[in-house]
Amino acid sequence: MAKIGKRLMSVFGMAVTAVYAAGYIYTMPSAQANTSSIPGLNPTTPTPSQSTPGAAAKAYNSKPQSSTKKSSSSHHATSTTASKKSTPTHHAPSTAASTSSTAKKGNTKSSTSTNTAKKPAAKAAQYKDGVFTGVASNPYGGLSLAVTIAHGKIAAVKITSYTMHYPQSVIDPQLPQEAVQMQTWRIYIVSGATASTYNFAEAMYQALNKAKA
Amino acid sequence: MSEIERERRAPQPSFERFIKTPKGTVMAILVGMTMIAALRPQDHFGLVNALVAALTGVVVDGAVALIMKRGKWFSDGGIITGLIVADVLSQTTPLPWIVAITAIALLSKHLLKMGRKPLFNPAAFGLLIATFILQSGQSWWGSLALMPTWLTFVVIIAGIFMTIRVNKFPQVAAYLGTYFGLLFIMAIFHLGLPNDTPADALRVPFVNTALFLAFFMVTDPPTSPASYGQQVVFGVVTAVVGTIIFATVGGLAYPLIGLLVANVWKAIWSLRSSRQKDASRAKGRAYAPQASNS
Repeated sequence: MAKIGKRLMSVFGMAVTAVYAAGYIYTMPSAQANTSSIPGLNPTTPTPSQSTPGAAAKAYNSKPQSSTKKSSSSHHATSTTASKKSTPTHHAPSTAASTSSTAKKGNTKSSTSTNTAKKPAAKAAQYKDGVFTGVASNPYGGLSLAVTIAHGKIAAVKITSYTMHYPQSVIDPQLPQEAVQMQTWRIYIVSGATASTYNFAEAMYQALNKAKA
Repeated sequence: MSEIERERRAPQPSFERFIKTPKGTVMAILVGMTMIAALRPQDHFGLVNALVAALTGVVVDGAVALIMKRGKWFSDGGIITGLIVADVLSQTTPLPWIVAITAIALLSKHLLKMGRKPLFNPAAFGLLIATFILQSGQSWWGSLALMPTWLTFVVIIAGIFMTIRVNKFPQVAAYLGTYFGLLFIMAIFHLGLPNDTPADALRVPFVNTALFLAFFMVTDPPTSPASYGQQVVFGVVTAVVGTIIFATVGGLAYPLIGLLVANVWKAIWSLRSSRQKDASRAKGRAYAPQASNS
């Protein structure tokens, strides 16, 4: 069979590129709107470093990668003093065997930095009791969750809606359990579901901001 | 014959010869892209997944070759299928699942056949089974979807090279042109799901999945047509079915479903044309004695 000519290939190639460019340009406003705002984001007490949407993801991105620990199915985010500064000294009882090792690692590492670890504990006590919601989205989809605060602590986290491209089972119940155990929005990244993890952290951050007294 | 002439005419080393074949080229490109994608710290483990999948491919195809008493037991196709499976599946996929999905993909190649050719693209079949039965996540990390945006051009350049190498340019152009065109139409008429918008599909990381599928899966020679006319129809069918599923259901399996439906269309088309040929041959035989008598 004769091969297609170079000129014809160039014409087809340019046609495909033109169609793509037209679609790309036409969808630019909606894409920008999607990335620049997270629906429902309303931090009550913004701090200079964490007042913008995507703060949780940025916080994760800013973590150094040197101490990343991996397993066959998931890996954990780095555990420098800075990244663990919001991990309190008290923890809820372990709720799942699969995450107990994770919590233990977090405990061990946070105990090495007592000065920074005690501050978030005080912060945790400042949470108002009640149910607070948070939502987050990114190009991979979105999720919303409800955080129940009881006696100033994170008592339960429930993912109320999930429209990410990954199955919910990748992060649920692992991340809600970790958030309860570690009493923070800075949960461990689930490898291969980084975008879902960022969204979860973002929504948690938002809900905890609402819960601040 | 001079010594130089004899040396020139002597067969090249087998690796060089292999790398110049379409399978060798696609394997080299896939290995290269997998290694680039694995540079991302979160994707280091993907190399292990890829290695396990490739080994599974060799073992499964080798076992089938032994059972069927075929001479060639080493399967380059098995490695390619394994690499594609590993490049698409999420990093969180446990290794036993990687093995199972690759084995399902390759068994489909041997069991679901039309004549001597496989009915479905093996990798697409295995990945779809994985999505619906094993509920495994797909990240398409091997398409450099999670790498810096400029690396998408590496996928495009390598993909175009591969497409020309296997003579499937009309098919790929028809697929990408139709897919991008339909997404544009969806955007104009505000069609689609709130979390699977055309804006998403036209951008990194989602556009990488379409490019990877177009360049390395749609172009699979045994499961796609050879003639240019049919290639265009094949590409259009893949894109239309995929886009309809994207607009109505969303998720990440839509390109795979589009490809598998196009595989079925190709099989039906081949069956029809072979029956027509048989019928015309039979007609020819029936009229032949009369022709000779007259």
